[in-house]
Amino acid sequence: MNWLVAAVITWAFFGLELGLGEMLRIGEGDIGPSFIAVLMTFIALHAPAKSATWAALILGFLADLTWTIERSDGGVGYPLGATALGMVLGARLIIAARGSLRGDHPLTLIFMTTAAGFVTQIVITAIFSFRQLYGDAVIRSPTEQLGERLLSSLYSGLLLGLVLWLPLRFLVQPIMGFPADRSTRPR
Amino acid sequence: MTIAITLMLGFAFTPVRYTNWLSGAHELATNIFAPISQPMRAVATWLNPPAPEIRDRELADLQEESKNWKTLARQFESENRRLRDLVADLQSGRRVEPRIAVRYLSRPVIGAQSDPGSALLTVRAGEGSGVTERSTVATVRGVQLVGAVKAVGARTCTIQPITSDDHPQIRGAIVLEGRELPLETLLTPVGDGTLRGGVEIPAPTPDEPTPPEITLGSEVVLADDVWPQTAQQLLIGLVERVEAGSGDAGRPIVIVRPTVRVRRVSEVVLRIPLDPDTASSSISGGRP
Repeated sequence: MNWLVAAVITWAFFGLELGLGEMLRIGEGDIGPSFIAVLMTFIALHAPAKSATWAALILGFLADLTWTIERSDGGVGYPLGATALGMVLGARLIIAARGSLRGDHPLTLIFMTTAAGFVTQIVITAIFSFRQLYGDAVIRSPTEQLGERLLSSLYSGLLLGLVLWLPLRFLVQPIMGFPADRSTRPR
Repeated sequence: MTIAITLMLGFAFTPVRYTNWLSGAHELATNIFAPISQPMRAVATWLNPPAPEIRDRELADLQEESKNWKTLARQFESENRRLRDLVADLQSGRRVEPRIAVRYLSRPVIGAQSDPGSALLTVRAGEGSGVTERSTVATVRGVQLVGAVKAVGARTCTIQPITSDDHPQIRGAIVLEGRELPLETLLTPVGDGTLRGGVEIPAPTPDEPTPPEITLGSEVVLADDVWPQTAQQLLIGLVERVEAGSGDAGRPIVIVRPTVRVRRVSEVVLRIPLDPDTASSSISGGRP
C-alpha cells in the first residue's frame, strides 16, 4: 500500500468529515455519517492485513484527536483510544470476512461499512460505560447514545458507502498501490 | 502493533480529567485538517443555510438593523436595572463589578467533531486573538447567541452550542409587547434544535388581574447569572409553541427555537471582554 497517497486521502477525508459532517446529520440530532469509517472499510477490504490494521489504528487515533467531549464539571475532555481500538476491531472483522466477499462490489462497501461501524461504536460505548464505573466525568450516558451511534453507522454505510464507492473504486484504488493478488478476489 | 494497541488501551481507560495535556495535539490535528474542513463547511452553509434566506436585500438589512437596535435597547434596559441595583449596593456597602466592555471578532467555524455524539464547534480564534474561557461567547451577527467558549487553545477555541443535548439549563426572559417586565423561563435543550421550559407566571395584581398571554414569535433573551455579563440579553430564540402545563404548578411550557440553526453556522461573532478577569468574576457559581 502506498502510505503517502493514503496520508493525502486521509487528510481529504478528515476535512470532509469535519466540514460536511454537521450538514449531513439527520435533523438536529446526533445521527450523522462518517467519512472515516468508509475510508477505513475501503482500505481494510483491499490492503494487506497488517497494513489495513495499522491504517485502522491511525485513522481511529486521528478521529480521537479531533473529538472533544463535554465534561460534567463544565469543561471539555479529549478522549483518546476508544475509536482507535474500535476501528482496529472493525478492520479485523473486515479482514476476516473479505475472503468470501467481492471487494469491488458497491454492496460490499455499504454492508461492511455498516458492520464495521457497528463494531466500532459498540467498542466505544463499552469503553465509556466501563469508565462510568469509576466515575469518569463524561456528561452523557454512553448507553443512551448507543442507538444513535448504530444508526449513524447504518447511515454511513447507506449514504456514503453508495456515494463514495465510485470515486474510491475508480480514482483512489488505482493509486493506492494495493496488491493485485488478494484474498478479496471472488472465488 | 502490540505496543500501539497497549498504549491505546491505556489511554482508552484514562479518565478525561487527566487528558487535558492532549489539547495541544487536538488543536494541531484540527489545524492540519482545517484547510479542507473550513471551505467544506462554508460550502455546506451555502447549500443549506442555517437560517431562511431573505431575497429582498433591503428588507433583510432593515430586519437586521431592527434586531440590533432591539438588543441594544434591552441591554440599556438591563443596564438601567443594574445601575439601580448598583446604587442600592453602594448604599449598603457591597462590592460590585463595573460594566463589562466587549470587542467583537468575526471568525470562521473550521469544523465540528469527528464523533456524531458530540456537538462542539471549533472556531479559528484562540488565546492569540484574546479569546478567554468562560467569559467569551459566540453569536451570529452579534445578536443570536450560539454558545459559550468551553476551551481555548493557542489558535482555536471550542464552543458548546446552546441547542446541544448536553448543554446545561439556561435561564431566559420572554419579552412581551406592552409589558415592561419579561417573564422568566428555565430552558432545557431538547435535542431537535429547540429548547423547552416552564414559564414563571406572576401572581395577579390589581394592575394585571389576568395572567399575561405568551404570543408566538416573542423573543426570548438570556438573563442568567451563570453566564458572563457579555452574554446577557442576547437572543436565545423565538417562542415557537406554547403548551399547557401539567402537574400542580400548571405552568405553561414554551418551546423556543433559535433564529438560526446554531450547530450549522460557518462563521460566528465572538464577544470578547476587554477585561476578562472582571468578566469572569461576574459569573456567580457554575458554568454556562
